Amino acid sequence: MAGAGYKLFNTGDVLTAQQVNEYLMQQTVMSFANAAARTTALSGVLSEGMVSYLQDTNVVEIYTGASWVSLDDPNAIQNSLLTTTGDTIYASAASTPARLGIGTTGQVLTVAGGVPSWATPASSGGFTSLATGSLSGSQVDLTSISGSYIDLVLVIRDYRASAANGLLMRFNADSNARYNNFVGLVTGTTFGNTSQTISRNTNTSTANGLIIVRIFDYANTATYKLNKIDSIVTDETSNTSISGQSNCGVYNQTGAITQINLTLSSGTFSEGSYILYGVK
Amino acid sequence: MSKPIIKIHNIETGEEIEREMNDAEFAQYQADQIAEQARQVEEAAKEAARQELLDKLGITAEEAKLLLG
Repeated sequence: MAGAGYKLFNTGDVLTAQQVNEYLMQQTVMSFANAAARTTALSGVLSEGMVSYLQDTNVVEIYTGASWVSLDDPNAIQNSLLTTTGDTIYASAASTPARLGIGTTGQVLTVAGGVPSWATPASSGGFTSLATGSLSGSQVDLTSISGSYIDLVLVIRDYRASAANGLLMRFNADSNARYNNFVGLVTGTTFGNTSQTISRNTNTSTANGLIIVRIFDYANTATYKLNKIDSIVTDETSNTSISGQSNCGVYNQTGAITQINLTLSSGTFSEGSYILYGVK
Repeated sequence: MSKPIIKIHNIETGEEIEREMNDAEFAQYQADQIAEQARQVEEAAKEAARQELLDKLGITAEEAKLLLG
Protein backbone atom coordinates (compact mmCIF):
# COMPACT_ATOMS: atom_id res chain seq x y z
CA MET A 1 0.00 0.00 0.00
CA ALA A 2 1.08 3.59 -0.54
CA GLY A 3 1.27 4.14 3.20
CA ALA A 4 3.94 1.57 3.61
CA GLY A 5 6.32 4.29 4.68
CA TYR A 6 10.09 3.92 4.54
CA LYS A 7 12.18 0.75 4.64
CA LEU A 8 15.91 0.76 5.25
CA PHE A 9 17.49 -1.97 3.14
CA ASN A 10 20.64 -3.56 4.52
CA THR A 11 23.38 -5.40 2.72
CA GLY A 12 22.17 -8.79 1.56
CA ASP A 13 18.44 -7.97 1.84
CA VAL A 14 16.26 -9.46 -0.89
CA LEU A 15 14.03 -6.93 -2.69
CA THR A 16 10.67 -8.50 -3.36
CA ALA A 17 8.11 -7.52 -5.98
CA GLN A 18 5.77 -6.47 -3.20
CA GLN A 19 8.42 -4.18 -1.73
CA VAL A 20 9.05 -2.61 -5.14
CA ASN A 21 5.33 -2.00 -5.55
CA GLU A 22 4.69 -0.70 -2.05
CA TYR A 23 7.86 1.23 -1.22
CA LEU A 24 8.73 2.49 -4.70
CA MET A 25 5.92 2.37 -7.20
CA GLN A 26 3.11 3.43 -4.92
CA GLN A 27 5.06 6.15 -3.10
CA THR A 28 6.39 8.11 -6.08
CA VAL A 29 4.79 11.06 -7.86
CA MET A 30 3.39 9.35 -10.93
CA SER A 31 3.06 11.41 -14.08
CA PHE A 32 0.14 10.87 -16.47
CA ALA A 33 -1.01 12.57 -19.64
CA ASN A 34 -4.41 13.19 -18.08
CA ALA A 35 -6.89 11.79 -15.55
CA ALA A 36 -8.21 9.16 -17.96
CA ALA A 37 -4.75 7.75 -18.52
CA ARG A 38 -4.26 7.63 -14.77
CA THR A 39 -7.52 5.75 -14.25
CA THR A 40 -6.51 3.19 -16.82
CA ALA A 41 -3.00 2.73 -15.45
CA LEU A 42 -4.03 2.46 -11.81
CA SER A 43 -7.10 0.30 -12.30
CA GLY A 44 -7.09 -2.28 -9.51
CA VAL A 45 -4.06 -0.88 -7.70
CA LEU A 46 -5.41 2.43 -6.35
CA SER A 47 -4.21 3.03 -2.83
CA GLU A 48 -4.74 5.85 -0.33
CA GLY A 49 -1.83 8.28 -0.30
CA MET A 50 -0.89 7.89 -3.98
CA VAL A 51 0.33 11.11 -5.57
CA SER A 52 0.06 11.91 -9.27
CA TYR A 53 0.87 14.74 -11.62
CA LEU A 54 -1.45 15.43 -14.57
CA GLN A 55 0.40 16.86 -17.55
CA ASP A 56 -2.65 18.42 -19.20
CA THR A 57 -3.63 20.54 -16.19
CA ASN A 58 -0.28 20.77 -14.39
CA VAL A 59 -1.96 19.71 -11.16
CA VAL A 60 -0.58 17.49 -8.43
CA GLU A 61 -3.31 15.37 -6.82
CA ILE A 62 -3.51 12.90 -3.95
CA TYR A 63 -5.77 9.88 -3.69
CA THR A 64 -7.80 9.95 -0.46
CA GLY A 65 -8.98 6.35 -0.76
CA ALA A 66 -12.18 7.58 -2.35
CA SER A 67 -11.15 10.19 -4.92
CA TRP A 68 -8.32 12.31 -6.29
CA VAL A 69 -8.06 15.81 -4.78
CA SER A 70 -5.81 18.69 -5.68
CA LEU A 71 -2.82 19.34 -3.47
CA ASP A 72 -3.34 23.08 -3.20
CA ASP A 73 -1.27 25.11 -0.83
CA PRO A 74 -3.79 26.36 1.75
CA ASN A 75 -1.79 29.56 2.06
CA ALA A 76 -1.85 30.26 -1.66
CA ILE A 77 -4.35 32.76 -3.07
CA GLN A 78 -6.90 30.80 -5.05
CA ASN A 79 -7.78 31.61 -8.65
CA SER A 80 -11.44 31.38 -7.76
CA LEU A 81 -11.10 34.54 -5.73
CA LEU A 82 -11.03 36.53 -8.95
CA THR A 83 -14.34 36.33 -10.75
CA THR A 84 -14.30 39.28 -13.13
CA THR A 85 -11.86 40.91 -15.52
CA GLY A 86 -10.19 43.79 -13.75
CA ASP A 87 -10.62 42.40 -10.24
CA THR A 88 -7.76 43.04 -7.84
CA ILE A 89 -6.72 41.45 -4.57
CA TYR A 90 -6.12 43.24 -1.29
CA ALA A 91 -5.79 42.26 2.37
CA SER A 92 -9.06 42.81 4.20
CA ALA A 93 -7.17 41.89 7.38
CA ALA A 94 -3.71 40.55 8.11
CA SER A 95 -3.09 37.40 6.03
CA THR A 96 -6.60 37.61 4.58
CA PRO A 97 -6.81 38.02 0.83
CA ALA A 98 -10.01 39.61 -0.47
CA ARG A 99 -11.39 40.52 -3.84
CA LEU A 100 -11.90 44.12 -4.95
CA GLY A 101 -14.23 44.11 -7.93
CA ILE A 102 -13.37 46.35 -10.84
CA GLY A 103 -14.78 49.87 -10.65
CA THR A 104 -16.46 51.81 -13.41
CA THR A 105 -14.84 53.96 -16.08
CA GLY A 106 -13.33 57.10 -14.64
CA GLN A 107 -13.25 55.87 -11.06
CA VAL A 108 -10.02 56.05 -9.11
CA LEU A 109 -8.60 53.90 -6.36
CA THR A 110 -9.00 55.44 -2.95
CA VAL A 111 -9.01 54.36 0.68
CA ALA A 112 -12.12 54.22 2.84
CA GLY A 113 -12.26 52.62 6.26
CA GLY A 114 -8.69 51.46 5.97
CA VAL A 115 -9.20 49.39 2.84
CA PRO A 116 -8.97 50.25 -0.84
CA SER A 117 -12.06 50.94 -2.90
CA TRP A 118 -13.00 52.48 -6.22
CA ALA A 119 -14.59 55.92 -6.11
CA THR A 120 -15.70 58.58 -8.56
CA PRO A 121 -13.31 61.52 -8.23
CA ALA A 122 -14.83 64.74 -7.02
CA SER A 123 -15.12 67.12 -9.93
CA SER A 124 -13.53 70.48 -9.42
CA GLY A 125 -12.15 73.12 -11.69
CA GLY A 126 -13.50 71.51 -14.82
CA PHE A 127 -15.52 73.02 -17.62
CA THR A 128 -18.72 71.27 -18.62
CA SER A 129 -20.20 72.16 -21.97
CA LEU A 130 -23.86 72.92 -21.29
CA ALA A 131 -24.90 74.06 -24.75
CA THR A 132 -23.54 74.72 -28.18
CA GLY A 133 -25.28 76.21 -31.17
CA SER A 134 -25.36 78.73 -33.96
CA LEU A 135 -26.35 82.34 -33.66
CA SER A 136 -29.43 82.97 -35.76
CA GLY A 137 -32.35 85.34 -36.05
CA SER A 138 -32.15 88.61 -34.15
CA GLN A 139 -31.95 87.16 -30.66
CA VAL A 140 -30.76 83.97 -28.99
CA ASP A 141 -32.03 82.99 -25.55
CA LEU A 142 -30.23 80.36 -23.48
CA THR A 143 -32.86 79.25 -21.01
CA SER A 144 -33.25 76.83 -18.07
CA ILE A 145 -29.62 77.10 -17.02
CA SER A 146 -28.80 74.75 -14.18
CA GLY A 147 -27.71 76.35 -10.93
CA SER A 148 -25.34 73.56 -10.03
CA TYR A 149 -22.13 75.26 -11.16
CA ILE A 150 -19.98 77.96 -9.64
CA ASP A 151 -19.51 80.14 -12.72
CA LEU A 152 -20.73 80.26 -16.29
CA VAL A 153 -18.48 80.95 -19.25
CA LEU A 154 -20.02 82.00 -22.53
CA VAL A 155 -17.82 81.78 -25.61
CA ILE A 156 -18.98 83.33 -28.88
CA ARG A 157 -16.96 82.75 -32.01
CA ASP A 158 -17.06 84.50 -35.36
CA TYR A 159 -20.06 86.65 -34.58
CA ARG A 160 -21.18 88.76 -37.53
CA ALA A 161 -24.46 90.47 -38.29
CA SER A 162 -26.25 91.89 -41.28
CA ALA A 163 -25.81 95.44 -40.03
CA ALA A 164 -23.39 97.39 -37.87
CA ASN A 165 -24.49 96.76 -34.34
CA GLY A 166 -23.79 96.10 -30.72
CA LEU A 167 -24.23 92.63 -29.32
CA LEU A 168 -26.28 93.04 -26.17
CA MET A 169 -26.51 90.65 -23.25
CA ARG A 170 -29.30 90.48 -20.70
CA PHE A 171 -30.13 88.10 -17.89
CA ASN A 172 -33.45 86.44 -17.16
CA ALA A 173 -35.08 88.42 -20.01
CA ASP A 174 -34.78 91.53 -17.86
CA SER A 175 -34.69 94.68 -20.02
CA ASN A 176 -35.04 97.17 -17.19
CA ALA A 177 -32.27 99.66 -16.41
CA ARG A 178 -30.38 97.30 -14.14
CA TYR A 179 -27.02 96.94 -15.90
CA ASN A 180 -23.73 98.75 -16.01
CA ASN A 181 -20.18 98.32 -17.23
CA PHE A 182 -17.00 99.58 -15.65
CA VAL A 183 -13.23 99.40 -16.01
CA GLY A 184 -10.89 99.82 -13.09
CA LEU A 185 -11.93 101.51 -9.86
CA VAL A 186 -15.34 103.18 -9.93
CA THR A 187 -17.58 104.82 -7.35
CA GLY A 188 -21.08 106.19 -7.53
CA THR A 189 -21.92 104.17 -10.61
CA THR A 190 -25.61 103.95 -11.40
CA PHE A 191 -27.47 101.21 -13.20
CA GLY A 192 -28.65 103.17 -16.18
CA ASN A 193 -28.36 100.59 -18.94
CA THR A 194 -31.04 98.20 -20.09
CA SER A 195 -28.44 95.69 -21.27
CA GLN A 196 -24.71 95.06 -21.39
CA THR A 197 -22.88 95.52 -24.67
CA ILE A 198 -20.45 92.64 -24.93
CA SER A 199 -19.14 93.49 -28.39
CA ARG A 200 -19.59 96.05 -31.12
CA ASN A 201 -19.16 94.89 -34.67
CA THR A 202 -19.49 97.09 -37.69
CA ASN A 203 -17.85 94.66 -40.06
CA THR A 204 -20.66 92.86 -41.85
CA SER A 205 -18.46 90.88 -44.23
CA THR A 206 -15.77 89.21 -42.11
CA ALA A 207 -16.01 87.32 -38.86
CA ASN A 208 -12.87 86.45 -36.97
CA GLY A 209 -13.96 87.64 -33.59
CA LEU A 210 -13.95 86.01 -30.20
CA ILE A 211 -16.05 86.99 -27.20
CA ILE A 212 -15.64 85.46 -23.76
CA VAL A 213 -17.93 86.31 -20.87
CA ARG A 214 -17.46 84.79 -17.44
CA ILE A 215 -20.42 85.18 -15.12
CA PHE A 216 -19.29 84.72 -11.53
CA ASP A 217 -21.31 83.01 -8.80
CA TYR A 218 -24.36 83.28 -11.00
CA ALA A 219 -26.63 81.02 -8.94
CA ASN A 220 -26.33 82.77 -5.61
CA THR A 221 -29.45 84.56 -4.46
CA ALA A 222 -27.81 87.07 -2.16
CA THR A 223 -25.66 89.40 -4.26
CA TYR A 224 -25.69 91.49 -7.41
CA LYS A 225 -24.19 89.62 -10.34
CA LEU A 226 -20.76 90.33 -11.75
CA ASN A 227 -19.28 89.31 -15.06
CA LYS A 228 -16.08 89.85 -16.98
CA ILE A 229 -16.16 90.53 -20.69
CA ASP A 230 -13.26 90.19 -23.12
CA SER A 231 -13.94 90.49 -26.80
CA ILE A 232 -12.34 91.25 -30.11
CA VAL A 233 -13.85 91.65 -33.55
CA THR A 234 -12.37 92.55 -36.89
CA ASP A 235 -12.20 96.28 -37.20
CA GLU A 236 -14.79 98.22 -39.10
CA THR A 237 -12.31 99.77 -41.48
CA SER A 238 -9.86 96.97 -42.10
CA ASN A 239 -9.77 93.22 -41.68
CA THR A 240 -6.17 93.52 -40.57
CA SER A 241 -6.99 95.42 -37.41
CA ILE A 242 -9.32 94.71 -34.53
CA SER A 243 -11.68 96.38 -32.15
CA GLY A 244 -11.94 95.04 -28.67
CA GLN A 245 -13.15 95.58 -25.19
CA SER A 246 -12.26 94.32 -21.73
CA ASN A 247 -14.43 95.33 -18.85
CA CYS A 248 -16.63 94.18 -16.00
CA GLY A 249 -20.39 94.12 -16.12
CA VAL A 250 -22.85 94.35 -13.26
CA TYR A 251 -26.49 93.32 -13.01
CA ASN A 252 -28.14 94.68 -9.90
CA GLN A 253 -30.45 91.79 -9.13
CA THR A 254 -29.89 89.13 -6.48
CA GLY A 255 -31.86 86.29 -8.06
CA ALA A 256 -30.04 83.39 -9.65
CA ILE A 257 -29.33 83.74 -13.34
CA THR A 258 -31.23 81.07 -15.22
CA GLN A 259 -31.34 82.69 -18.62
CA ILE A 260 -28.95 84.59 -20.89
CA ASN A 261 -30.38 86.66 -23.72
CA LEU A 262 -28.19 87.71 -26.63
CA THR A 263 -29.71 90.28 -28.89
CA LEU A 264 -28.52 92.57 -31.66
CA SER A 265 -29.06 96.28 -31.56
CA SER A 266 -29.46 96.14 -35.30
CA GLY A 267 -29.89 93.55 -38.04
CA THR A 268 -29.82 89.78 -37.80
CA PHE A 269 -27.10 87.25 -37.09
CA SER A 270 -25.28 86.26 -40.29
CA GLU A 271 -22.74 84.01 -38.67
CA GLY A 272 -21.42 82.87 -35.33
CA SER A 273 -21.58 80.14 -32.74
CA TYR A 274 -21.88 79.93 -29.00
CA ILE A 275 -20.74 77.55 -26.28
CA LEU A 276 -21.96 77.85 -22.73
CA TYR A 277 -19.82 76.17 -20.08
CA GLY A 278 -20.59 75.46 -16.48
CA VAL A 279 -17.50 75.77 -14.29
CA LYS A 280 -17.09 73.83 -11.08
CA MET B 1 -45.55 92.21 -41.36
CA SER B 2 -43.52 89.45 -39.77
CA LYS B 3 -41.50 90.14 -36.66
CA PRO B 4 -37.82 89.26 -36.15
CA ILE B 5 -36.93 85.70 -35.24
CA ILE B 6 -35.85 84.69 -31.77
CA LYS B 7 -34.03 81.43 -31.11
CA ILE B 8 -34.61 79.76 -27.76
CA HIS B 9 -32.18 77.09 -26.64
CA ASN B 10 -33.38 75.22 -23.56
CA ILE B 11 -30.20 74.12 -21.80
CA GLU B 12 -31.97 71.57 -19.62
CA THR B 13 -33.68 69.69 -22.45
CA GLY B 14 -31.43 70.64 -25.35
CA GLU B 15 -34.48 71.69 -27.33
CA GLU B 16 -34.01 74.54 -29.78
CA ILE B 17 -36.94 76.42 -31.26
CA GLU B 18 -37.18 79.46 -33.48
CA ARG B 19 -40.23 81.67 -33.50
CA GLU B 20 -41.26 85.23 -34.18
CA MET B 21 -40.82 87.67 -31.33
CA ASN B 22 -43.91 88.31 -29.28
CA ASP B 23 -45.17 91.86 -28.79
CA ALA B 24 -43.13 92.54 -25.65
CA GLU B 25 -39.95 91.17 -27.19
CA PHE B 26 -40.54 93.12 -30.38
CA ALA B 27 -41.10 96.33 -28.43
CA GLN B 28 -37.76 95.81 -26.68
CA TYR B 29 -36.12 94.99 -30.00
CA GLN B 30 -37.38 98.24 -31.46
CA ALA B 31 -36.18 100.15 -28.41
CA ASP B 32 -32.73 98.60 -28.86
CA GLN B 33 -32.74 99.64 -32.51
CA ILE B 34 -33.60 103.22 -31.64
CA ALA B 35 -30.91 103.32 -28.97
CA GLU B 36 -28.36 101.98 -31.43
CA GLN B 37 -29.33 104.58 -34.01
CA ALA B 38 -29.00 107.32 -31.40
CA ARG B 39 -25.61 105.96 -30.39
CA GLN B 40 -24.42 105.96 -33.98
CA VAL B 41 -25.63 109.52 -34.52
CA GLU B 42 -23.88 110.60 -31.35
CA GLU B 43 -20.69 108.84 -32.37
CA ALA B 44 -20.80 110.42 -35.81
CA ALA B 45 -21.31 113.85 -34.26
CA LYS B 46 -18.35 113.30 -31.95
CA GLU B 47 -16.20 112.19 -34.86
CA ALA B 48 -17.21 115.25 -36.88
CA ALA B 49 -16.45 117.56 -33.96
CA ARG B 50 -13.11 115.87 -33.45
CA GLN B 51 -12.20 116.25 -37.09
CA GLU B 52 -13.30 119.87 -37.07
CA LEU B 53 -11.01 120.55 -34.14
CA LEU B 54 -8.11 118.78 -35.80
CA ASP B 55 -8.67 120.83 -38.94
CA LYS B 56 -8.74 124.01 -36.90
CA LEU B 57 -5.47 123.05 -35.24
CA GLY B 58 -3.98 121.94 -38.53
CA ILE B 59 -2.79 118.59 -37.20
CA THR B 60 -3.62 114.97 -37.91
CA ALA B 61 -5.20 112.49 -35.50
CA GLU B 62 -1.82 110.76 -35.07
CA GLU B 63 -0.17 114.08 -34.25
CA ALA B 64 -2.93 114.79 -31.72
CA LYS B 65 -2.28 111.41 -30.07
CA LEU B 66 1.42 112.18 -29.94
CA LEU B 67 0.70 115.55 -28.41
CA LEU B 68 -1.55 114.13 -25.73
CA GLY B 69 0.52 111.04 -25.08
